[in-house]
Amino acid sequence: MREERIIKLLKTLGVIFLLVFCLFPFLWMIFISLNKNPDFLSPQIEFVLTFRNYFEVATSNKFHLWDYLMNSLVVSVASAILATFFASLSAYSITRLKFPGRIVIPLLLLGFSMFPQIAIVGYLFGMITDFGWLNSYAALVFPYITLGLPLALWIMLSYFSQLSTELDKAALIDGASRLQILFKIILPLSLPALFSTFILTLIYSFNEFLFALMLTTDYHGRTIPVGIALFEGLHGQIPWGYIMAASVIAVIPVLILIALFQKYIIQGLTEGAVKG
Amino acid sequence: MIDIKIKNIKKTFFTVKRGKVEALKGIDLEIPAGKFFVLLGPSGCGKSTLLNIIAGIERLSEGKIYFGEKLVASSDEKIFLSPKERDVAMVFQSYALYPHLTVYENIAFPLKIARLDKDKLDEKVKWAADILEIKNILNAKPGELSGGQRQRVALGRAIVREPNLLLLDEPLSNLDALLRITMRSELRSIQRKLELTTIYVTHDQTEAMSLGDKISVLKDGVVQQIGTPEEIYNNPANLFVAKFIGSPPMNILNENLVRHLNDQLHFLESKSLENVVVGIRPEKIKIVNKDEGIINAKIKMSWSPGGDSLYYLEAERNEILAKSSEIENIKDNDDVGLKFGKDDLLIFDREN
Amino acid sequence: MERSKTNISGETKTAYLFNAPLIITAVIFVLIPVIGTIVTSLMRDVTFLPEKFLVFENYQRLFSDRHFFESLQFTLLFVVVSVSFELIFGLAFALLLNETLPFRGFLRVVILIPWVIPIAISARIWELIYNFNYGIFNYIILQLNISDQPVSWLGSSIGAFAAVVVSDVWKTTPFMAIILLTGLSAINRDLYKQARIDGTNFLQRFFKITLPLLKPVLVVALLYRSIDAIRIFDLIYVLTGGGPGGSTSSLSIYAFNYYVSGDFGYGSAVSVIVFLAAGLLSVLYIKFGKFRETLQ
Repeated sequence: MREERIIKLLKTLGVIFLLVFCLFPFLWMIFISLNKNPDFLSPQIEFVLTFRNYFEVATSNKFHLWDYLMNSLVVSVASAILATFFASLSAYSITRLKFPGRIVIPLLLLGFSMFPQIAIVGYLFGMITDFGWLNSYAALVFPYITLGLPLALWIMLSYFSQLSTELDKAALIDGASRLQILFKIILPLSLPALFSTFILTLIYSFNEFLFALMLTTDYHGRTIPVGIALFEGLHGQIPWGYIMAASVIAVIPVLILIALFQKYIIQGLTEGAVKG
Repeated sequence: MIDIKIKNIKKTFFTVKRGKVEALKGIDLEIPAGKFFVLLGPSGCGKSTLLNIIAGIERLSEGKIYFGEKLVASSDEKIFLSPKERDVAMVFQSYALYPHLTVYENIAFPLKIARLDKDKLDEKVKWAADILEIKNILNAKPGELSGGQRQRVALGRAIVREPNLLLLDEPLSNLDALLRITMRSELRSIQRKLELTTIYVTHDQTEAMSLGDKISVLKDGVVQQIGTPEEIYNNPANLFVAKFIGSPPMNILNENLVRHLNDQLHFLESKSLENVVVGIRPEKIKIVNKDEGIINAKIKMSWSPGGDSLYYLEAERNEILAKSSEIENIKDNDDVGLKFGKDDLLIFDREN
Repeated sequence: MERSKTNISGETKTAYLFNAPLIITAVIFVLIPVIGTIVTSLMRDVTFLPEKFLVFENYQRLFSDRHFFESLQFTLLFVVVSVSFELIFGLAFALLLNETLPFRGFLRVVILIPWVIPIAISARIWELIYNFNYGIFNYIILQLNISDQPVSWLGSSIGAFAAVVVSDVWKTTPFMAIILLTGLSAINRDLYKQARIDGTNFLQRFFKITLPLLKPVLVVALLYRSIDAIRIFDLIYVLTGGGPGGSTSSLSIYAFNYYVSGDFGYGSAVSVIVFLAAGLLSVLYIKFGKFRETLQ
């Protein structure tokens, strides 16, 4: 049938387009990072394979790659753990306990997630400075927790509401406290959701830019997105090779995450954003 | 009204997990025009796949299908007519009603696609709604209807086109027991009235037996037997058919009992004990006083669902189920006799 | 029945306790800053100048600020164009991924890549691609003789607009695709089989079945992305810095520039405008998203 062949053709073209669309800038980044001379207005494209960019940027004292990376990791992991934890506590109480404000809290959080960061960061800067936290991990961890909370809450809510309350009732009869029930029974049964939440909030925190830009001032506190964004050359020439090499290194952790856990990420996104 | 001929249909597909799977291994069927033909078999036997292939929503790997004189699908000649070109209608187990359209629009949908003019379309939709007795819900949406109503709408959409062929894939499984029985007879009377050639797929043998003009039993992609309900019940072609059909299922007798019975009834003739499997249906066993029957048995348990009596008994270390349509005065642990004849036994070659 | 204030049930107490971390964090780090910003917008808060409560003077200044309106115009145009493209591409990818394809897992990883790369990093990659001297686009243009002059992408206002849109579409299409994919996979497959039997071709199936049934998800996704797009900052800051000449200065960038130059009052006022715009869309988002129903 003609229609079947048209569809098949479209599918193949579609897949090719998808691959090119998604991978082109990504592959380009890798390509440049391995290239000695990225100047394309010279007569031919020169591709001289070199790892020099990586070597230089990894050992450079001017570009504190490892500081940035370390800061990013610490801040992302910390905020992801805390966000997941806070969200689980709340989600548990909302799905299992009756109290005024049950419905309000998720809606409120949803509303908060719509606030533009720019409307927060100005005043936040003042607050953070007053706390004495400027350029510290705390400056970023707490705002990042609030960034991740809405999605985290909706994912955990969605998951907990599918767990039967009979388990809780049985445990209550056995004498357990609510906190014990949460930790010994509900959370162990919610590993997929916990995992999705953790990974998603980690990715959001890792990629965040505006808060990091304003609330940190030097390499002691800066995260890698800011580091790479501000990476300028010495003599007005932007060292693209170094920038791309640093970018590749920065991107490796997240890529490993999505390669291994693509299923959880997609599941989490759909639970939180569509069904939630 | 059209007859359907299916010749040597094979269907193979490749899965990532299990490699090559042969869903259908060479099916030959003839469905006479205007008849109600049932495809019966357990889950995974290929019946739904076969139905999809006949409809044209799946391709056969090998074989030919004729609708009347017209070749609608052939692997050799590379002919695969689309469902539209085959003019078939189908009702799915989930009914597949378009949730965003009203009942009227659902039924009208195929006619609209076929670009029927407004008046004719309206006429036909009302005609179908009349037959299915759903005129009063024409403006409702599927979400507002009960299971039984949805089923009727699905049927209405199918018959409104007066198709060559009506295909039904377990359409009654989602209904509760009582509704299922009422719908069965309604379905049958509609089919007879419209003289629609119909193929009905089910795993429920009671349903098959009560609905079909002819039944084809399938297992693992192979036809086990084709026949009328009576033929299949009384003369099962093999052990599988015998065990699958009949409720409660046929008893299988162990070697001891078979030897004992053969000494009295001499039914084995030239066959040897190791090569046969012998069975008897529960309702063929008559319960008489001790020593007045062929063999003796002890009642282990009895109960009477509805108007029948069922007896769980033990004879020669064999557990047997017997069924009687009278309520006898028999108690647990009684010693009784069992009476039946050579012709009541079903004998099969033992397939390894 | 009287409810004594001191007799809150144990359950409620536990619930408040469980919610405390979340509420406290959200209040301190979101609610208070937003209120603070709103208050600041009503004041004169400029470094080295004494603070003064102005009420609406900042806003009056906004209304006669030509650059502000340029910013507003750019932002709105950006939102409309970007989100439209994201919708189209996202839908196309979602339809594709909804089919049974070989290497589906691999394709799903691929489609996540643009989304997981930190936006600051992808902005730099695009910055290089659009680069006047070193960029691959100009290289291709010259090689294929489309023009004998390299294009100054980031140096012209139209070029910069296009560059920003392309980069944003690249980054967020995967997100759209995943959301739409969920919506697509919720549609009962039997409906398509039935439609084939009813005689439709594949375009008819798309318009009569897929689109109508996808509409709720589409609307929600659209609103969500619009809310996000209105506050765009990261990409523009790194890619164009708001230039050339402020032509790609989104509202957030505009506010940010005032913060950086020390005028927190005026910057806050702009921020409040963004907040209101996002808020308006959010109200629609919450209404269409049926969140209340899901909570039950």
